[in-house]
Amino acid sequence: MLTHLEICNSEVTHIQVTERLQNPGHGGQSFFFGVVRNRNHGRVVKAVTYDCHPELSRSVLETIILECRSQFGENLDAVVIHATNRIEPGGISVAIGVSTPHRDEAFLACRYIIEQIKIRLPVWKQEHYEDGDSDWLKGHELCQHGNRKQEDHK
Amino acid sequence: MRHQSRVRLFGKLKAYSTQGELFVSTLETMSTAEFRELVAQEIQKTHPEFPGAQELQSSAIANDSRILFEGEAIGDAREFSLLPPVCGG
Repeated sequence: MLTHLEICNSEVTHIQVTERLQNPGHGGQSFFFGVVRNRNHGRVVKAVTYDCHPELSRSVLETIILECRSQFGENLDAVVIHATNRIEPGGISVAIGVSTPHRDEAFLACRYIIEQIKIRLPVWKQEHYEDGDSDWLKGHELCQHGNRKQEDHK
Repeated sequence: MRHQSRVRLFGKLKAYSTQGELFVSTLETMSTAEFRELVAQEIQKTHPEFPGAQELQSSAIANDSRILFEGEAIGDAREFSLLPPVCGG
């Protein structure tokens, strides 16, 4: 059972993920690569700077993988790498690889991981535009998530 | 008892500190709302234009191991993080 979670200081490469998934008992591999776009809301994007809380990000990713194993199979292998710092359009900011005995679980788990990253991982994006302006993107409030968990514990 | 706590700032909040952090005097019985008020006052010392604690309302507070529930006491940690709405990926 493989778990590789990494916050790296530059853009991610495909091979960082693909080479790590080599389980001969697994017949399905699914990958997701998040790539920096050159446009957003009609503005030309020259680069995106990613800020991250590394310790908390690792802990959140560990929790997400545990949830994945409970939902999609305990023997699931997972690789998740998220970039920080400045990345230009075309660069990979997040890469996910999942392998499972059969394809269905691999697709589902990969989708689950990226959707959870979007709303739970303590990472922030600052877009830099062609005109020299920059802006931090709006995101999802973690305190709402905290409230939900508190309700769960009641 | 009061003690000095380090507060790490992330995302857009980093603009309100020189090193991405600031220091405040905390009480372990302090609520998350009171903590935000304290941090807002500290920011306003160097950035008088900062609107106040309402600007931090959407930011979660984490200690050195987890995100705090809204309304709970902050406890005796010496390090906190202020986490604005996230957008990973």
